Amino acid sequence: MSLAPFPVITALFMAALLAALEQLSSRRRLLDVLSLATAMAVAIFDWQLLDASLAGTIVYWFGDWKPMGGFPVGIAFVIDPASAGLALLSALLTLAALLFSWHHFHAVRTYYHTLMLLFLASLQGFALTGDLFNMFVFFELMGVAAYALTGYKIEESGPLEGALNFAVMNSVAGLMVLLGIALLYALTGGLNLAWAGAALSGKPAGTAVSAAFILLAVGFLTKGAVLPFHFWLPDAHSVAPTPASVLFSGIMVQLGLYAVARIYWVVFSTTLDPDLLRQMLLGFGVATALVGGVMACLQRHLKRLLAYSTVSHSGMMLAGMALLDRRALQGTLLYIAGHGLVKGALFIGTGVLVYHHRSVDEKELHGRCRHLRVTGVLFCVAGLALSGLPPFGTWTGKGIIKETASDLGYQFLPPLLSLCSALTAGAVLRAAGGIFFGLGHSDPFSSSAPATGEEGSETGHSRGPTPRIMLVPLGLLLVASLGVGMLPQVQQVADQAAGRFIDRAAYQALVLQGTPLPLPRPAPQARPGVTVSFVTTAAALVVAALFLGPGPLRGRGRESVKVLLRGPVRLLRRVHSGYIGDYVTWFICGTGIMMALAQFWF
Amino acid sequence: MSSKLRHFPFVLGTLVFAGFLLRALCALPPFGEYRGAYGPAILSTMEPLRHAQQAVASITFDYRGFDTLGEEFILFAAVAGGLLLLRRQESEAAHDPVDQSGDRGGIEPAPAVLGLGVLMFPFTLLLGIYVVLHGHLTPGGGFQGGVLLATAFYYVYLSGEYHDLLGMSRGHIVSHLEAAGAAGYVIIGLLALPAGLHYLHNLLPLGDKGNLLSAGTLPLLNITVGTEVASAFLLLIAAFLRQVLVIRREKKP
Repeated sequence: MSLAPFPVITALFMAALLAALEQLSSRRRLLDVLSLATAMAVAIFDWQLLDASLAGTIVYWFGDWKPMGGFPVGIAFVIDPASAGLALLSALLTLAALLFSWHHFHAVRTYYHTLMLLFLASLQGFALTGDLFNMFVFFELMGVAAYALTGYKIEESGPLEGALNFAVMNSVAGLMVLLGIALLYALTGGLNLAWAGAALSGKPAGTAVSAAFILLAVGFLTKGAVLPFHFWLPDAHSVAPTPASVLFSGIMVQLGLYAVARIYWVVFSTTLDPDLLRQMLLGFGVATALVGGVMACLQRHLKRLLAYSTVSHSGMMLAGMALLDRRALQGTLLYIAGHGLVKGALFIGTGVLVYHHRSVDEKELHGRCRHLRVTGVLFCVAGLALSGLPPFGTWTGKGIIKETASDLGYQFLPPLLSLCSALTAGAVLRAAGGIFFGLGHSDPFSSSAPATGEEGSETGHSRGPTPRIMLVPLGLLLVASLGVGMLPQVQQVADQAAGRFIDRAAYQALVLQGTPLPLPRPAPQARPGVTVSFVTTAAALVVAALFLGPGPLRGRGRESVKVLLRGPVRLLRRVHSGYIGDYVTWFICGTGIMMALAQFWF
Repeated sequence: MSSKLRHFPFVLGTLVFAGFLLRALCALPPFGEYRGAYGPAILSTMEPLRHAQQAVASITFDYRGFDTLGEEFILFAAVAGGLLLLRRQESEAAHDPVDQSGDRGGIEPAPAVLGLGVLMFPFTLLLGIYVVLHGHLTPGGGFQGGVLLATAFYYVYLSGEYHDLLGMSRGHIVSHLEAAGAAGYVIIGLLALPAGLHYLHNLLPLGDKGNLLSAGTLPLLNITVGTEVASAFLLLIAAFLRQVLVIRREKKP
């Protein structure tokens, strides 16, 4: 019996069961235990599937509707190491988030566990499916569960506004995906990715093909928070409850990028011109990474800071993916894993602050958390890991991306990636230094008014030391990220995943004819250089020191620096206005430009 | 951006987008020249393989039944999220509903409305049940029939008997029915696994084409979806009613 459907159906069934158990009077711990057990079971299924997929990609036809005369009438899960690995990552992050929520909420309200499990099911289905419309169904399920989780704390206005922005932008994105599916269906007559790829291959790229790709890409890149579609993310991630933020920043955004990569390689890779596409995606990726990095430095609301760092890192992942190369894709996959685990740890650290002080405001908490030593140290370690400190998973991932970029002749990319890593990690370390160690004083560029989010009465009063069960997921996530960086097996899996990912012919033959082609040969083990990574980490420390210590940003020099930066900073802030009308305007302009570029270029 | 400033780039962006989308749509195969393989593949196999006479139901519940599972759970998630957002806050208190217009004595529906409600309730209920049960034979099915079933209870509200609706919340039988409907679909799909078949394989006896008991699991799946949809809409209307009629914001102490 194949395990392929179980990650999704276990989570769905348990979600329904937990909804039915909601009315029990002493339900809190029962729901906690059952949802933890579910996440654990899903993680075990994913582990098994990953293990099995290494020997050969698994194709699972629901309802036994195998292709009839080469035409797929049913829905298939196509489980290769990349999709199984991402599913496993999402299950692990859910496990950490649920462990953390054991003590996080003062009173768990209606349907929290149900929605978390539905969210888990959607992440699983989205990663594992090999069918375009099925992908859209899970995209929508992911959205609906996420909007509700974002607006969880209805007593404040921030979460409701964030959830509304999130819902509007992602629904518009969903419409784009649906339009793209309609175009592709009209062109190919099928919804299976492999079929669509086979039907398009060899044909010239017309306006309809490029428009279909751009519509699908725009929809998924909105989920992936790529400029200029990223505006919803800081609004939503900063106000969602911490466990939900862990999942949003750790895996949901990255799955958007994964979907773009998947549809490109399986469906469009023989039709569209890779050079032009590479330039376009690289441009968007680099712009996203820079804007996200700068905006992260300008925040004082810690969760908002982390949210902008997610935007920046999502841009870096897009840049890595955009190289359209096997090695670069391997690096990107490793980076997604390493970054997701570290970012989850950072959000959990922030959640500990909420637990104690009901605030995540850098200025307000300044020096007030000296007693949280373990959390402080772990948070700083996570901040260093965010910059790509060896031997964390972020180091191998980014190292491979950088080396491949240099080999391919994109010399400008490695320094840019280092700069953005240093900016985001520097902002995190600055905040950590101020909050946990009382270093420096209020920073000169931060915004004046913090947004209110889940803090407030959500978690009740702080009581004594931090519960162990909150620190356990924080530590485990960091250890897991270390594992991603250090274990050679993880690299081998990522290499195999990338090799399988870009092998369109083998994917088609397996899905449509059921004939397995030989697996790609393993590439030699990559050991990215350590020096560059240490330099990046040092640069991050310098950025943090610039903000915290005496130097050009203090005293007399400060005024001149401020005057110099005032214009661009104000412009950036004004663009990130928080008005949904502005966001839709940027969205439609971005989509229009991408459509125009694609139709003229491709 | 101010709203006036915003209009310019928005209109410009929309025009560019619409223009290029139109250009792409013009490159599609012309209207009426469908060349896809999906339609013929299903029309030629659904009768011999599944004894089904309704292609739409066959696609939604059999060929692509897994999509429908996801769609059912989208509704489930939307209702769970709706109830989460519409819950009573700590600063709010529940009050007995009062008539908003002061010149009436109590909440008495007009006799005509009451009569119509009493008349329509059983027929709508019956129509809903019919549409759910015949989903695999005639246009309709669980989603449409479920909405009709919920509509029948909206007549109860129109007739002024909304106390019955207000009670439908967490712990009420309706919320159990909703969860059972959602879980039921998952379980019906599981039936095939012990037989060594794939998830959602339609393995029940197929019956004769056109009979009420035919097409294997399709009627069962329609019933679970109908149950889920009907109770989901009831829970939602009850939550909205509570928000409007019962919950009042108290001043914070």
